[in-house]
Amino acid sequence: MIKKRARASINESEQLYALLAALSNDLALPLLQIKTSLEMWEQTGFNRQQLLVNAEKMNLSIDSGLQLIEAYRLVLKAGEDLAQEYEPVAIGAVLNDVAHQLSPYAQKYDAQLRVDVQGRLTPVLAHQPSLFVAMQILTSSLIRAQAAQANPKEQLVILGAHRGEENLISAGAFSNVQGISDRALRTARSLMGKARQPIPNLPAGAASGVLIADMLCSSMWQPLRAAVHSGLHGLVTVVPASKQLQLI
Amino acid sequence: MAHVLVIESDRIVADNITQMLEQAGHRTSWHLDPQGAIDGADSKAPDAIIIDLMLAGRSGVEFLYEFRSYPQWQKLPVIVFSDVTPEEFNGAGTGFSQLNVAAYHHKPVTKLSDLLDSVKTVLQPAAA
Repeated sequence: MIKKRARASINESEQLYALLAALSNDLALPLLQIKTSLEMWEQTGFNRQQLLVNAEKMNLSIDSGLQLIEAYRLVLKAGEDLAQEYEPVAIGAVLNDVAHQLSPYAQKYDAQLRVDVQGRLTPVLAHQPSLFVAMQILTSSLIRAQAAQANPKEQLVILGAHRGEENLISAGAFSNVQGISDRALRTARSLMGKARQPIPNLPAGAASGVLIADMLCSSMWQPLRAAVHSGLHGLVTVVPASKQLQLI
Repeated sequence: MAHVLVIESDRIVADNITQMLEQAGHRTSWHLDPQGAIDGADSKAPDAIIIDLMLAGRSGVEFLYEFRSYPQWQKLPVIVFSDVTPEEFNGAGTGFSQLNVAAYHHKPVTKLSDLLDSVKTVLQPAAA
């Protein structure tokens, strides 16, 4: 019994270390963006228009950093019993809120962001803040990843949800560039905290966001898995419909 | 005035690097991925390259190995600007001498002006 507890505690410490390493990799990017933008600001005589553009760039970087910290906080909290805080959540509303919040970010990266939710989708049972942040951080990571791979004019990211078998609902983000396979995701999980670039398809600063989203989804119901939606490859989590509301 | 090829996977960071270089009077072209950079180097004949090592799909080190395998690119100055520390770079069995890296900058502790100074330094022999 004592041995079991000690092993569980070691596993938890390892996971927290891996998470912290992942976070530090991802946080370095927005901080570097702000650092280089500030240096440009200091060294060059910007006119009012350029100042506004630069301020907007920094604002996006700050938002991105804050989103990561919020995601980290939620993963730490996920160690506690989240189930008590589960509630019926309208998945369409969550995905629309994420799209609304990430719209300036997507614009900066020339990505087209759309929401495609199957009609009359039953509310799901989830921890709303965790689901929101997982979808947000997954989508922003895919936007950054896509910007590093595709012709900027062709980028499309879809936040999608649809009903599957046994009243389970899949929700996730999809893009029109090379997808991430389940095998690549499994390898990435084992490399988290050990490798700088656990998903070789994704550039620095994007992979850890996917892994943090994976941990958040995993702490609720199921980890992320590869899926296809409207012909686009992406990652989804599967959440059960809220039976509470089905009775009404 | 020199032509500098920037290979950087993040648009905001790349914007800032290219703006800084252009204000110093250089021409720039920016590539997101190593394959595009190989094609870009062929068509634009750069005088120097600034490269990150952690790129999507293919690492910057792989790019450097391929790049250095072409006779016409063996002496082109390459400046690394990366999150990977110089110790990690050397420890991975790559190393400055093997890949003929002219300058190495670790992103967290480098100012854009340091990068610009390195560009000036590596271009000096060519100008002389």
